[in-house]
Amino acid sequence: MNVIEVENVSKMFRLGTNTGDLRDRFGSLFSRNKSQEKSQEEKEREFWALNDISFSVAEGESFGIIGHNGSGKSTLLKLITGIYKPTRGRLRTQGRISALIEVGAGFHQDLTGRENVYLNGSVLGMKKREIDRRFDEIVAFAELEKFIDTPVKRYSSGMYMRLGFAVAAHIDPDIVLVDEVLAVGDESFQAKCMNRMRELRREGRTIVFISHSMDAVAALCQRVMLLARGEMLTIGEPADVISSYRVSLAADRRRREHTAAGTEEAGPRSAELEILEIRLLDADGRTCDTFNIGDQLRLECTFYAHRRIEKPAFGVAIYRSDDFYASGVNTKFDGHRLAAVEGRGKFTLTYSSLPLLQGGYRFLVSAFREDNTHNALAYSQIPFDIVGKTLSHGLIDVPHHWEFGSALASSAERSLTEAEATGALIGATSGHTLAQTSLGAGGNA
Amino acid sequence: MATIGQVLQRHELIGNLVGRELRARYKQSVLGMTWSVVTPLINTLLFTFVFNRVAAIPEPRNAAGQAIPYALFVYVGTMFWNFFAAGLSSGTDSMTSNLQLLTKVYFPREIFTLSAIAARVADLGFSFIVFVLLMASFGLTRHLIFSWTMVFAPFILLIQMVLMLGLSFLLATVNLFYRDVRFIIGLVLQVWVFLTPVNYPLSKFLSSTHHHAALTWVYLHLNPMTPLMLAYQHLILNMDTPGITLLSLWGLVAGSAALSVLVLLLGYSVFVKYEGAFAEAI
Repeated sequence: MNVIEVENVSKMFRLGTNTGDLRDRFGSLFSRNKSQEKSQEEKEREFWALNDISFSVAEGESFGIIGHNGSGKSTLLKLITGIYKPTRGRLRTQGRISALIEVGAGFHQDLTGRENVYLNGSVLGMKKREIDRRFDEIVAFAELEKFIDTPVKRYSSGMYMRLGFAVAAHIDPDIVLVDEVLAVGDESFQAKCMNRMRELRREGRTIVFISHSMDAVAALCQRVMLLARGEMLTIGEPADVISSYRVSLAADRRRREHTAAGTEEAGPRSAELEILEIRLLDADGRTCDTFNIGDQLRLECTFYAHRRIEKPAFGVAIYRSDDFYASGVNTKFDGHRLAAVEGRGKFTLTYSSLPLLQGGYRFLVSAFREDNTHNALAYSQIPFDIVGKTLSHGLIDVPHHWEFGSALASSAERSLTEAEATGALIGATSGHTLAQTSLGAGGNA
Repeated sequence: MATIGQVLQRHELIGNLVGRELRARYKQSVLGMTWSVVTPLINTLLFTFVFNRVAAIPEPRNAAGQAIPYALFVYVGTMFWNFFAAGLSSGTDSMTSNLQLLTKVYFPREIFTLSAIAARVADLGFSFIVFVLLMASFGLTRHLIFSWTMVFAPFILLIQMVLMLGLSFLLATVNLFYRDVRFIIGLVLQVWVFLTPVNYPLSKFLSSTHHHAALTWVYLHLNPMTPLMLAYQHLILNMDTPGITLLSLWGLVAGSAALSVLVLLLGYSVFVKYEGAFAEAI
């Protein structure tokens, strides 16, 4: 049975200020035959946050909604709760909805934690009896036993958030809508929140979950929808949808970086050496910026030495999009002693099988003198993306296999999801063994 | 539009919102709830001084011919008028002061307006306790006879609340789109109190405007608060107003009730029409 049904729903907002003639706004109440024409100006002020969205969520399903900022996720959630009304289309829900759109909704600064639990609980639709029954549980979950009779204005923002989430997490809803609230608190509290979500899922509640954390979406959701600029792009298996989200995210970022590209990113323009171009090639030798996990990748760098440089060295580092230093190799450490470069030159670095997990990365290529590795003569960077269907978390794809005892073997495949079964490791790894360096410096080397 | 059942289902929420309002209003104030009786008492002293002493308006008389202490007369009017004015102000602000809830949680929007007015009922209750004390002291010291008919006053209060609710639904909606409304309503209330027999007896108004028939008619029939004030004074103080028979008084009250219901229907229909856009009008 479907507990949420969304049929061709569109939502339009009017941009700009709310000024207008009082008669325009309220006149229509008295005259039914309001003119249907809209001025051009009025049309331009229209902003369609959602366009013709249709989907349904079945009872007990956990459903994820992902998309860039401004794609309409939160608007959709607010439509489901009833805060907004659709401009077009039909929306039907069944059962008690609890929306974690913002934790601590209705908290009053001057009231104590205890008073706010009762206030917030009733705002979220709990009866006093239910709150009485679960009060100790809520306070324990928020870890605020000592401060429950202190006005919440004296709480830290973390305490405030924890209390808000604790109340919301203890409602007895049929449908739970969650918008990014897992981003509150420290890691252990976040883990607790995820556990509570899993518990709700196990209890057979319907969950609609919006998050920018693909790990959380992958771990929690059975079906995922991808929104972009108010349109529904795809809907289906989490791994598929998340991977197409990552592709579109990467494309977006490249477009931005391309337009913003210019003098700063190119690095210092040393009088001695200039990096002219970096190209990334796939196994077939085609220029490419998106690779699958385990693909071969060749980095080709063209440079120009304005004068003869004795004993040069080149380094290539990989950074994840969050600037995490994933790997770095250089010609010196790999034992390639280069005599000298002058004029136009080129080198190629081949990774026979890149073990990075899906995500955004960049190469940072630098040139320096062998005896002075701290001062680069030149550097330049190029972004690339790794995509893949695995649900593994972390940085690298560690080759692995599982074995089970005979009793376990028959059911193992069904009871373990891929996400839980894949070993994941976070941390940097030395790229040495995986990278083959080949150097073909041209010019007068 | 929420059904009455849906709204009643959330009576605990209304109670909690009222509690929040009351507790928050008097937290960290030394006198706390006492303020809700200090204000009408000060008003009473002020208006008694101005109208009775300075303007020399004589004390009204009750049906038994006794003079009603001017302060007591003013206190009755002020008690109900303050409820009206304060209720209308909080009713007007009921949406704009709850924007955080309005945009983050859904429950029937009527609850905001209902609880804003309900919170003012508590104040009325406190000032009524003080009134009972005043009444007792005047009864003992001046042998003033009070009428048992005051048990019907809640019916008048009901009409007043219908009127307040209707106006609040309308004003809360308009105020979301045009914040000027709350300033305008403040001014209107300041004028309105003098166009209603709150601080002076109706007989004074009638005697000074007897050759302006149209003005008198508007005052009596188009200001729904006039008959209500008159009814409170009649039912509670047993006050006798020369020129107004019992029959014409109840006729006026019926007219006021009809007007109030009309205002509620109009106000609520505007509210329902724009309710869907409330969360976007911030």
